[in-house]
Amino acid sequence: MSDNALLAIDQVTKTFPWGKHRIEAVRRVSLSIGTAETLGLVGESGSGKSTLGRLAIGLLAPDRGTVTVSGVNLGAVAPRTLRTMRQTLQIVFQDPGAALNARVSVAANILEPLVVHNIGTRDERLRRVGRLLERVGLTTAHGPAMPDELSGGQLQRVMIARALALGPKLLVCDEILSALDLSVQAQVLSLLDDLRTTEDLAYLFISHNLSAVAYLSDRIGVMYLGELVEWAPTAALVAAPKHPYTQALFQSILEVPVSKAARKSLTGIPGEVPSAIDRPSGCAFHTRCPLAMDICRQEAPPWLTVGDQHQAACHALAAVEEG
Amino acid sequence: MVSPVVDAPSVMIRSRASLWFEGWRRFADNKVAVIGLAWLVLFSIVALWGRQLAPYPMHYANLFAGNEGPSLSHPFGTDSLGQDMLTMVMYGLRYTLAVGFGATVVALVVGVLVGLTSGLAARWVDEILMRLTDFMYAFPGFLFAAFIIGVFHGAIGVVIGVFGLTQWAGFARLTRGLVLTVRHSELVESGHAIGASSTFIALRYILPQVINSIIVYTAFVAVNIITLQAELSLFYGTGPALPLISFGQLISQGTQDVLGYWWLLVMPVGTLISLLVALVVVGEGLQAALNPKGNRIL
Repeated sequence: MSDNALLAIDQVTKTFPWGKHRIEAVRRVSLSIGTAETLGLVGESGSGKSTLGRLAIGLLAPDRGTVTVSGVNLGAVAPRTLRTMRQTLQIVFQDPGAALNARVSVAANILEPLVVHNIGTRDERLRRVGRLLERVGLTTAHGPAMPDELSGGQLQRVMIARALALGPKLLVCDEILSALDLSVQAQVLSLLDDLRTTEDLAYLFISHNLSAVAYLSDRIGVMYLGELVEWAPTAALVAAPKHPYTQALFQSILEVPVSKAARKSLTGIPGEVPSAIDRPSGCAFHTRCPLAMDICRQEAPPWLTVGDQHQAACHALAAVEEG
Repeated sequence: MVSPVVDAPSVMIRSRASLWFEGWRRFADNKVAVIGLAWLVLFSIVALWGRQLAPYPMHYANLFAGNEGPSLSHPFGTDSLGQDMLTMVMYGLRYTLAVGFGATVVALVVGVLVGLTSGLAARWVDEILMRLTDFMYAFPGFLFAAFIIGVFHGAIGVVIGVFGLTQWAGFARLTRGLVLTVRHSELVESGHAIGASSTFIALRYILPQVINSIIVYTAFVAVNIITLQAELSLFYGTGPALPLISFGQLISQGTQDVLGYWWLLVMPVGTLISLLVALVVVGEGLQAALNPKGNRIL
């Protein structure tokens, strides 16, 4: 973990009460993001991606482990300080229709963070809102509109403008494309791409859309049942995924292949994600893994370095390396 | 030479006044609701200044003009004692609206306080308050009210208290449910994300959501309370002592003389029904006005 990381998550575990039990939504995850770097996070529903995103910006507090932003441990600061630190840590939610205040105008929504942190005079704030609207590809004419008068893509832009209002350094994007039409997804992606350079933004880009993650991310982490199972620079991961789960995930991408043979090669991952309440022993993926061995059912897999900055946690890979 | 000023674009936000105006416009789109509101305003004026507006004194009776049909001098006719029915209905309205308004306010205050506390406080507090609410739901409020009001001869303060304190359970459940939904919504989460304080979130995000639904629900609770109170005097004969008179008493008298003297029943029943209908349509109009997304609150 480098010391100059913008965000450093170290051995973080987060559990939630579930009846009489507690489920581990995130389990011993470590990762870091540098300034203006984009980390993609992929995995199926329920793999803990969104929980990790909320932990990263202090919306949730970890049960164990630490979340450090620019060297400051979020768990060790007062709530008031944390609220101030929110200026550098922002999130864009999956459903802007639910996350925006439907009772006030678009401009008032973007204005809110500035009001909360008491930034600028009224006039300055309004100008800033105007600039933000233009920055995300809308116009000042959208300001007086009510949220329900805009389309899903426009709303997501408003949500991004609201998140950018305080000039954050890290933006968590939690499944922000999943509610949008394909053509609009592409527009929002290219907007994020632009903002990265102009605003010096780092992203934690959470999505189950592998193509989108691969397009935007410098590095990608793959999560399964609350655990990180592989992570690598984007090019390396796309070219040669090592973990059986990652491989299976890449084989289940739905695209429109040219050849008929390729069209038939689309395969899903057999079985379903096990319940986090009754987590499989050893490697959590062994119930669905084509390479599962006895040891996978008994012991948690070790982290292996399988390439340049490329790591995966898998017994089968370890067996191959040992020859 | 003046240096060129590159003016950063400023932006308009919608003022609070314009939001109120838009709410009113959505309400006014529903013409029936507007008529209902006008009707309620008229009734409220009658209730407030009934004594001055009534064509005859309350105790006026002309035995030689008993059981007369509607005419110019007695638009609602007269009863067997020769009392003017319009005057009686106006006094009835006065009593009914006082009870309906008063008891609804009591139920609203108690219910919303219980619901808010339940939704925001610790789990064991919530448990206790919700069991109490369940109890009040199952409580035979109508029989209880008949008993208490029978004993106290329908003193208006007692009637308001009894109905208010037996009809708050719906407000409590509604409020608690709304608070719980909003409390775990992405809206509140996004408030935390921008670093807003709990007070800011409660006032700006939670309260508006909760209040709008409660205002709408209030109209329906008022309907319920007015109906209950009328039924009570109708079936149990418990009502206020003169000069106060309730619709139930008027209707109950009317049923005895209905053969041949239809106006004795139709005039008070018609007035009561039009009051209830007006409340319901205004409630419907408020749904549209307070809910910009157009989905129904109730």
